[in-house]
Order: sequence, then structure tokens, then C-alpha cells
Amino acid sequence: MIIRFDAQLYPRKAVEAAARAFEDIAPMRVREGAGGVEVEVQGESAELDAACDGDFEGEFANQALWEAGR
Amino acid sequence: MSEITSEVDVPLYGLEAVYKACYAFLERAFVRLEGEPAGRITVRLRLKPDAPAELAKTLAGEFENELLHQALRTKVAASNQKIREYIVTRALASAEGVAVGQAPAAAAAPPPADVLDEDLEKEIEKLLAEVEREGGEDPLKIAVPWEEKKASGRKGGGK
Repeated sequence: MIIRFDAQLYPRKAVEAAARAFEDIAPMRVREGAGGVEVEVQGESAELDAACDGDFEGEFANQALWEAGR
Repeated sequence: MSEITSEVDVPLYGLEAVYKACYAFLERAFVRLEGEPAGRITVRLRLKPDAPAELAKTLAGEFENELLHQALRTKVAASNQKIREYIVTRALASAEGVAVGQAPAAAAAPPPADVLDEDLEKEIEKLLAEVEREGGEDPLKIAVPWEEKKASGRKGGGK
């Protein structure tokens, strides 16, 4: 699974901090892509969702947003 | 799952207010931001499965109200920044041995050399002078020490 964020609104540091918060759920890697920050998450989508009350991507995005505004 | 999108004019509300408004919804919705921080941002709010169903009807309106609320809070915080700094500076200076209840200019007198370093001392002096210049009066007697207030109360009480 790859989750993409707009680099202007979600700085790489914020996304990395979010990745650290979720690292016990799945291994992931943060990198900069075209105009954004990408998170490559290893694992099946269903398993990831099950570990996060139904929506891994949503929970991860919320965490990244929280980190971005701090 | 219910989702709403809201277009936000960032120069009008401020980016900080947008983030703060989004924070208020993190418990109830998944929030994503897209767009240009110097122009317009699209905020996508998708209700979480356990969020109250009736929230779907009011989500957009609630978000817009929160945005306005946070914009105002940010503005008020900015306008009160000086006085908050003054209060903290005064409290710290008092804790470090500068007498409480002195006039601000007098309170800025150099504390013992081993307590505050030179830069901090200058910064405190500058802040106190600024506050005094910009209306450092104390009409509500907030800066009057508790002991003095109590002493004057006793004089009036007479029992």
C-alpha cells in the first residue's frame, strides 16, 4: 500500500513521525516523490485495516496531520 | 461512509486555524488536506464508522464554524502574546528573586548575577519596558501581591 501526501501540507518530518507511531503495525518506508511524500507500507490492506479499527490509511493520515501542525 | 469536502481560503483564515479546526475533528472523522497553502485548500472529512450518524448532516457546517472559531482564537492569541509573555516573565523573575509588586521598570533591575544570564536579563528588561510603554497599567490590580491585598483588606475590616 502506498499513501501519498502533499509535501506542502504534510512535511516529510511529519510523515516520518507518523510512520514511527505506526511502525509496530507494519514495516514502512517514507520517501519523497513527485510533489509529495509517499509512505510505502508493507502488508495486506485488510490486515492493516483490522489493526486500526477498520481504516489504516485514515488513521495514518490523521496522525500525519496531527504531526504536521505541531 | 459519509464524506464532505470543504474549500478553504487560507489567506482568509490562516493555515494555523485550518490545522486546528481539523484537529477538532480527528476523533470523529478521517481528515485529509490537499491544495495550495498560500491559496485554497481542500479539506476532506470522512466520518469514522463509530461516529454518530446524525453528524453526517451537520459535519460541513460544524467544520466551517470550527474554522471561524479557530481563526478568532489564533487572532486573539496573537494580540495577547505580549501580555502573556509579560506575565510569564514576571512570574519567572519573581521566582528567581526579583521582588514582586515592584513597578515593572523597577522589577527589571538587575537580579543577582548568578541567577540570570546576561541575555535573559536583557530580554526580560526589554519585554518589561515594552509592556510598560504599550499600556502596562494594572487597573484590576492583578500584579498586586496577595500579601498586600490581604493587608489592605484587613485594614478595612477592622475586626
